[in-house]
Parts: sequence; structure tokens; C-alpha cells
Amino acid sequence: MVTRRVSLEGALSTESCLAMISHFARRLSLTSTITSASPRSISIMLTGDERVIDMFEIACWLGPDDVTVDTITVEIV
Amino acid sequence: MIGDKDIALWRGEDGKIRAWENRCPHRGMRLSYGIVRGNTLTCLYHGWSYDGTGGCAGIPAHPDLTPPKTIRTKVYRAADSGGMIWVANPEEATEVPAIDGAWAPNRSIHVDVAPANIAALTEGIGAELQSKITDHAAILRVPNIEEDILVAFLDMKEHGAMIHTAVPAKATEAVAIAVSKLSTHLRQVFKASSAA
Amino acid sequence: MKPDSFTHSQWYAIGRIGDFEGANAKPVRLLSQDLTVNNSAGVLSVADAEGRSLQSQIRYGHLWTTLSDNPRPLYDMPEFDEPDRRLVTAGGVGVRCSGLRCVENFLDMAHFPFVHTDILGVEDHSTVENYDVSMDADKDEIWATKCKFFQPLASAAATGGQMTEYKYRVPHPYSTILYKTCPIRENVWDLVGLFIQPVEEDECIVHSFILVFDEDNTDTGLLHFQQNIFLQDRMILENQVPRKLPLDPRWELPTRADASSIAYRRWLKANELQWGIALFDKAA
Repeated sequence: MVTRRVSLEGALSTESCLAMISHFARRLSLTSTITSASPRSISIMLTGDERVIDMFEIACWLGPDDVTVDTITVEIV
Repeated sequence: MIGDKDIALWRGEDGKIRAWENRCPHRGMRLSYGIVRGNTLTCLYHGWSYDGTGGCAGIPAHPDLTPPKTIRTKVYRAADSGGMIWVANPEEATEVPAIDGAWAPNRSIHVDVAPANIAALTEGIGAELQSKITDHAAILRVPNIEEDILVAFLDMKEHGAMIHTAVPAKATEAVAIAVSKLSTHLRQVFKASSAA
Repeated sequence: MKPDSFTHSQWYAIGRIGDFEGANAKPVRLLSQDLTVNNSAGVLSVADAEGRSLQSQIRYGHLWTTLSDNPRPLYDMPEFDEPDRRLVTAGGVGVRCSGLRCVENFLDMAHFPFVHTDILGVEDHSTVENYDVSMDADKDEIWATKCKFFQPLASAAATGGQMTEYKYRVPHPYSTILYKTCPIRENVWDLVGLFIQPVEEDECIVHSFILVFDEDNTDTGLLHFQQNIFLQDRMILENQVPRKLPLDPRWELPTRADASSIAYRRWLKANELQWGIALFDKAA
């Protein structure tokens, strides 16, 4: 079990991006806490298996219809 | 197919029947093309394997990754009874049909049009209803057939319907042959009308 | 649905030159439209259903056309001008799914051990190592590089198992090219590629080619190898649900091995491609 700070940047349309984040966190059994959210950037603290957090990152790259993700950074906390 | 839902049916080494949504959660491949090994089903496309409860058990592209329990297929309820397999939506609490006695499966035939209800199917066969089991299954008495038979149908919407028959396990070969000969008649009765 | 402008503005391969020999007029279907290829004393031309003449060109062993009056230029493949390379074309194969799904499957290495067992992969070597994916902003195309996979029989010229190195290129929504280690020459790449003719949103014809250095195998031998692989892929492609390509992330669940698929989908989305895309159905 590890904890990572995952930050998404782009044109995020906050509401649908948060819905996607909670969808994948639930799907992948990751504990998530949103630490900041704006239309340009969202930061989440994720706890779980490191390889599963990697899956979460890949899953978020595509984004919902109204979201364009430009960068995702994963930091060790 | 159940209604417009595509289902993958499989039986593991433990003999238990399973009914899952026919779609791998990874990339949408039909699971009915998968391979059964022991009590797991492996998707043909990327080898993702699922245990008997529908939980993902392995992702071969990443052998060190332990899939979380929440990666799972959509699981329907499935059971054996009366020589037939019964499937229900997961949220439905209906009991598995209790069918007395031992039954031997006879035929599964495809017809163009689903019977409107079990009464229409009974009438289509030219039989007499002995006891209704569900809205889609009943025990019938057919003229000139010495034993009561078990009949069930599955509505597959635009794909027509399946009609399944079973005979008592102790029935003679002559009875089994007579029931299987009903197929031609049933296909005729539930044929798509050429005017439609 | 009417094709979006990204789809509409592309050139599409509709057959090999030889496929139009001996017939004065041959019907073809592209982007849900009926077209006619006319052969007038060996000169090919393409017209739409109203008889309007469409732009056409012969390149990479195929006849290409476009529905656009102002198409994007067809991408370059300089390898076609290199001497000693052999071009083998397989002809069109119909596949009942969106052509976009065919591109995505072509970019995928994780299926080799399961779909192309004992040819392009083995179950004991199923790991997909991380590879690089990048967008070439100048050319507006995608590259996946440093792809490595253990292959028991990487090509018709291979004699045994090897770690094969791959590069993938997507220069067009319906074209993809694989550059793979040449088994018989140092420091050169063999090419295998698909030119896909989108017929309907969920139906396509795949025209494949190989452009290789190979002195031993006959054209027929090379063709059989490619056809065998492609028929194994077709069985998968025609059984993916839905038939169109899903872009909504809730449909599926990718892993790091799917990075090239995600990059391809992001690129389609950035170009506002809609034709051939499945709309997300919450109930499904």
C-alpha cells in the first residue's frame, strides 16, 4: 500500500472530471481524497497498490467527452 | 441472448453454472469466446482471467499486478433445475423454479417469433397445461405422448426465441423421439409471417 | 451520421491497381457512399453517385480517393522509395466493425500470446514492458516507440524466438504502420501496415501490405503469414462489443499496456472525430 498525489491539468470541466475520478477510484478499490479542484487542475490523494494507481492514471488520460487532460503528474507523498 | 442482453454461460470444474454479461470489462471482447480452466474463465483477447464469482484474477500483460476485487464482470443469477439452466437478473429475488422429479433435456430449438406467453406456447403445441412453473415454463400433456413434458421458452426479442424441452428421466426412447419431433411443428407455428 | 470534417478530409485506399483491371466500372463504398471506379484504357478515375468526379491518386500500391475538394495531403512513407524492398499486398478483407477498432487492435501487443499463440507471442512471456508514446505535433501523427515483445516466430523470415523491437505509427485515423526489427539485416526496419477503407461506421475493408527485406520467402509465403495473422485478429474484431469504437472512459478499463490505444483515442478526440464512435449508453 502506498499513497500518491495525482494531479490532473487541462480543460477539466470540474463536475464530470470528478465523476470520472470517483468512478475509477471505486472500480479500482483505491481510497481517494480530493485535495483541490478547479476547472484547470484537480489534485487527489490516492492510497492503494502502486500498480493499481498506475492503472488509475492511464484510465484518467482519456477523460470524459467534455474534458481534455493535458498532463497528469504522480508524486510520492 | 436474454431479451436484448448478450450472456456468456459457462460451467467450471466444480460443476457450477455461471451466467455473465458477455463482455470483458477490459476491451469489450465477448467472454463466450473465452477458455475455461478449472474454475476460472480466461478472455481470449488479452488473457484476463476471472474467478467463479466474476472477480478479475489476473492480467497477463502485468503479471505483478494484483487486480483489485472491484474489477469484475456483471454477474447474473444462474442455476440448474429440471435438466435446464435458469438465469435471472442479479437484482431479482425470485426463487429458482422447483421442478419435481428427474428430467432429461430433450431439444433446444430456435423459432422466429417468441410465443406471447406460456398459454400461447401450450396452444401452439396442441397440448394441455398440467402445471405452470414460471411465466415462461410449464409441464404439459401432449396428445399421443405417454409422459408429461417440461417446456420453457426464452424471448430473444428481434432474434426470435428458443424453446427448450425436457422429458422425465425414466421416459422411454419412443417418448424422447416423439418430443423431439415436435420441433418441426413448433418452427412452423412460430414462424415469421411472410406478410410482416 | 455525416462524416465529421477530420474523417471527411482524408484520403482513403479503395483497392489495389490490379483490383480494377478488366472492368470498365466497379462499384466501391466509402463513408456510407456509393462510388464508382472507372477504368478507361488503364486510366483509373473515381466518381460519386451523382457522377461528380472525385480526386484520386495511385500511391503505395493502392488507388486512393477522397470525398473532400480540399483534402489533407496523404502522409509520406519514404521507405517505399528504398531499393531492394519487396512490397506484398494482401487485397481487401471485409471486417464487421469500425475501422478505428482495427487500428487500435493493430497497435496492441498484449494480445499476441493469446490471439497469435506460438507465432507473435507465447503465454509464458505475456508481460508488456513500458514503451514510449508521443505525438508528432508537426505532422499531427502518433508514434509508439521502444516497444519490445518476445516472439517465437516474428515473421515469415524468422528462424526462432527473439525479442522483437517495434515502432508503431498512426499518421491517419484509418492507417497504421508497424516498423519491426528485420530478422536478416542489421539496423533496418521491415514495414507492415493497414490502409483501412471505412465502409460504414461499423464496417470496413482492410487493405494490408508488407514492405520487407526478404530474399528467401515467396510472395505467396509472405502473404500466407500475414493473412493467417489477420484472420486471427478478425475473429476478435468481430466480437468486440460495441462494434463502434468507444471513447467514453467508462466503457472499458485500460492498463499501462493500453497506452498506445489511449493515445490514439485522445488523438481522435482532439481532432473531434465522431464518425465510427460509440456513444456511451449508461444502461449498457
